[in-house]
Amino acid sequence: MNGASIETMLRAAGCAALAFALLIVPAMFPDFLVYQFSVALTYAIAILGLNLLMGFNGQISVAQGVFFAVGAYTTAIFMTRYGMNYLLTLPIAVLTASILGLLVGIPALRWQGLPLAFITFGLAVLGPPLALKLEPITKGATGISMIKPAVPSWFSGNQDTFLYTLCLLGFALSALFVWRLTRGDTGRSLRAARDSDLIAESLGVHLTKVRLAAFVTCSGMAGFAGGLFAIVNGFVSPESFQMTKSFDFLVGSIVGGITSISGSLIGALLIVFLPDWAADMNIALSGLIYGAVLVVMMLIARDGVMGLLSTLLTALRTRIIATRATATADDRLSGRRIQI
Amino acid sequence: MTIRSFAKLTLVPDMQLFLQQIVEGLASGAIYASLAIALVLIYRATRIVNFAQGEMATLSAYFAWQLNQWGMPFWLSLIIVAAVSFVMGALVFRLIMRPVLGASDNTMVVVCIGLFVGFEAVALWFWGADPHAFPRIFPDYAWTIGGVRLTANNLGILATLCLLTVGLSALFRYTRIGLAMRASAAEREKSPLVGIPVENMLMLGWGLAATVGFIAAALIAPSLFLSPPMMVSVVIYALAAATLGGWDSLAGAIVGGLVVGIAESLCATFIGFIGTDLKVGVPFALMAIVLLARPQGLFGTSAVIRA
Amino acid sequence: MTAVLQVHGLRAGYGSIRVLHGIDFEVKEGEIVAFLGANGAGKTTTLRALSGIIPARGAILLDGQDVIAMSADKRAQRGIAHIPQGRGTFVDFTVAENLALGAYLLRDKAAIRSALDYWDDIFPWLAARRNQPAGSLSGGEQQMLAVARALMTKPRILMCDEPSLGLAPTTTQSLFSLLDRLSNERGMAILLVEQNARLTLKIAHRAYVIESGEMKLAGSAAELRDNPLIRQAYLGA
Repeated sequence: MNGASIETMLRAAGCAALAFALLIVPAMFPDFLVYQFSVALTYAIAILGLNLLMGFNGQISVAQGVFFAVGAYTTAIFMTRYGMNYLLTLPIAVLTASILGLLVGIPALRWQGLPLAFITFGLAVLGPPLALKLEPITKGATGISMIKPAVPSWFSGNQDTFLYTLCLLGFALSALFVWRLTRGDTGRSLRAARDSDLIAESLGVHLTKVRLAAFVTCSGMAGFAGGLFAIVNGFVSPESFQMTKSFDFLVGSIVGGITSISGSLIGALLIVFLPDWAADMNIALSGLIYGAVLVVMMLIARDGVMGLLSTLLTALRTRIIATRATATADDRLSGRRIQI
Repeated sequence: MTIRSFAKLTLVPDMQLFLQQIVEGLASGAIYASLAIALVLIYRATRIVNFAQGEMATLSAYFAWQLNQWGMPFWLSLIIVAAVSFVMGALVFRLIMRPVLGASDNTMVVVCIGLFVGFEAVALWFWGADPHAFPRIFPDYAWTIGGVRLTANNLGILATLCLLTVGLSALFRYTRIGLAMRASAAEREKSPLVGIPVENMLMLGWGLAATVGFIAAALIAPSLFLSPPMMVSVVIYALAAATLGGWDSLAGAIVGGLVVGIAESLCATFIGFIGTDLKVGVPFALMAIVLLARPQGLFGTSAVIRA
Repeated sequence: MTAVLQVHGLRAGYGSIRVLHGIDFEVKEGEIVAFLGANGAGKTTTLRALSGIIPARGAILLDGQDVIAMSADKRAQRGIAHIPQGRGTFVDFTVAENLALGAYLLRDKAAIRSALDYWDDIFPWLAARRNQPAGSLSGGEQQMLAVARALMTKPRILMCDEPSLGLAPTTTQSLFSLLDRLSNERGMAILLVEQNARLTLKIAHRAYVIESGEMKLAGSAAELRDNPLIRQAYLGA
């Protein structure tokens, strides 16, 4: 059994453990925490979209919170104004967020790098006032309240558990989607476009199409996440979508690992639980930690927590192989066979 | 010729309101321009756009305020904190930016956002969220000319900005060290070959920009009241101002700031949909237009965009 | 003649890629030493390791003192002048600013003045183009400017990385006769990295041939010119 298959086994075991942990959450925790985990799952979907855009395609977006908000409001509006079933609103949420993503993504093609950061930052700042301004549709500062979906008869569990399961399904779908997307040719095109324009073009990658598609997909996923969030939360208002939400998603993406699917969960858990925990001690603490984390991550662990774990795994694997190699050399020298 | 007869000639319905809005726009524009100058300065000296410039400046302003609260004469606290800001900027460069110098744009952006969040949190930690009154630098006079009100504060800020720009431009153009700073920013690899200690130059640039940022904060704080997120709303305007003016032009930062200020003021007053609610859409729209139509800005020579 | 530059066991590379595997060579006062070799052999890497742009291991003795531990700007202070590959000028800066940058280490106004006068004599066209951006000059003019810039401080050794790249043959001739003149008139030690072996061997005193990061041949210019291997590989005859 060589190092590579040990690593694959470890990864598979890790995924299985993670899946198991996610499944038993409702059984392990009180209702309010289950609700928070549900929220974390929706955030994880948004972060996943960001990973797709930033990690795999190299375009920066400080406006993920805005697309998230668009999805959330779409769901809220269609549920309350048009009495639509909550599940049906989700594709529409994806659609509206994607359209906005297209509108931003097209000029974004000319704004690679720093200018894209400025523009998306400006968008994030513009979001809340815009939500307030469009009061006829968004109900302004009052916000929109929705009735949370009733638990279907075939489901054994209370409403929080049901909503949690819904979010879990949503996350699983998103994770599978991103996993498939980044594995094959699309993944290669994405990464080529990120690393080098020249190489990408020589590989026959259509840079504009790939970049635009990545941007639209990222915003669509944020819309999906936002829609789910609205359903779980039962309430949307500009308060929940301040500029800091976009920063939160950015932090979540960086900490978890900008190209990691499981990392999005870690990042999401961080941004859901850290502010509450830190606020108990000092209102400024979560800001300090976020700031420090972002800076330190860029200095020593650019691939986030999952990247660190991955490096550890590789280091372990190299050590195992190295020890084996020296052992083999030794026993050749001494003419003996050594059992490992 | 009076204002009214001029108005009749140009068919502007309420000339007085129009002119007043222009003056208001110039006042807020001066505020945006102050931060923009610090941003452009850092860019010219180090090719980095430091999102956190405003937050670092706010922290410096808090230092000055605190010293003053403890009984130090205001002018002395300004001088001391100007020096402290320089050291702070140089340290931030040395400890945090230097290790990531060669990294991608995106990494830099993330680090700067980290500094942004972190510095605001530090101010929040020590001084809380409540706004404080900041001592005035300029006396409280105002003049009314032809129905339009000009304050000593506005003029004072504009004058200070002009002085700063002239001084800094002269530094960059006519001095040996200014040349070395520009070379270190533009040609990081070649500059050591002529004996320029590049990292020291970059550190100098950051220190200088931090001091300029502090001056901006001290100019702004009397009007906006000192609080941790004081500069947060200014940052987007300053970014738009610098983009409009051109990232490698200090004079452009002033012009850009004033244009953004006037545009915002006029749009807020005369375009109903925007009003005061969506004022922040004005810098956003301006920035988007400039980046699409003329990426290098009005006075810039090369685009920030690396094609 | 004393050795200005002595290099022992120079090892350098980029990240995990090792390019130079320990090379030895030297340059004496008043000598033009040519560094020949194919693309990727390690010629440019050698110069970058010498001037300090990239880290290196081994010994680099300038006038007997080991500068390997010094940063690039300190090495420039000691007297190592490097004209890098491509345009050795500061492209976005004016001709005057380029020369001012070259004179960065000179504090004495008189020294700067006399250096500028010297170069105005050699290149009369310089004065007329004072305020033009260096990037607007022709390739040949830029290389001349780069030489002037590099020599403002009267360095101990001048290292040129493929100065003839992209230049017309006549321009290359002028450039090389300038280098020749500098070597004769001022006793300048010059390390010349080139692919154009024929012209280079005409002005060089000695030459080294480097291949895959290792020193393959060394000798006087005459010896190398007559060497059948060299003739075949680099002189096409």
